[in-house]
Amino acid sequence: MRKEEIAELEEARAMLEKNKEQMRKQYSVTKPNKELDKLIEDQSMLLGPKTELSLRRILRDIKESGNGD
Amino acid sequence: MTGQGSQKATLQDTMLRYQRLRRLAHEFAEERFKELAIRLRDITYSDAIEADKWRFEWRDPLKKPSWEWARLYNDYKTNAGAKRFDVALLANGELCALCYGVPTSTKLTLKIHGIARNPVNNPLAGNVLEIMLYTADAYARILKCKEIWLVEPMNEMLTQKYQEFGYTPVKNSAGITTHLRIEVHYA
Repeated sequence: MRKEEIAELEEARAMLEKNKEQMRKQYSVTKPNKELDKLIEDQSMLLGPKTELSLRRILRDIKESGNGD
Repeated sequence: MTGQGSQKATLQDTMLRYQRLRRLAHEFAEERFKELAIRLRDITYSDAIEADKWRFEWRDPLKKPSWEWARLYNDYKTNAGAKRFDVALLANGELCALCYGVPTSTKLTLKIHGIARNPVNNPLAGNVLEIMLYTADAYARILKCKEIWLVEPMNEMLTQKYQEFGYTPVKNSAGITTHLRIEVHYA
């Protein structure tokens, strides 16, 4: 691994550590909506392309993302 | 020949670099949810095939998935998908859920395109969204993104669920939620 990559990983690790508490709070629902949870508890598909057009949009997003820096 | 060789190496470097950054997000989430003894890693073709079998678990046609993970796998696992967000979530060695996404070219936004869980005997049922969104948030921060988008929630009930995590729905002119967005705030 190159020096810059090691530095990038260390910097990212430190940033995550700094943001850990904020993230923990954001993704812990303090007042769970039990009624809503009951309604969605048997759903397994949570997010995804519903049509062929959606799949084409995903492919476009991937191509646009690219492999540049 | 030499030129082609060095170009290949650069692409390999990029692939490896983002693989390491994804691994960092995975490890960070594993640590956060250590009480659940989860394991996160990139999706393999076998995972995609297994997840595609989940569709047969549903009798209700409305609950059957509208996409194939194997197809998404082939789309994401390309050179263009180098920066993808990619998670196979396991507990006790069993595949429990999958998630795919990709950042925009400028890395301003991380778009999450697909999340699904095993519908049967899933020890992580009820925790999947929290784990996946937390991991996506970590990866977005690693890439220094400003926003995260959840593209095409399966229905309005799930839209409400995403709102519990602070996401705001964006609707089209027909009133249908096209995606949800959240700004990433850095401490």
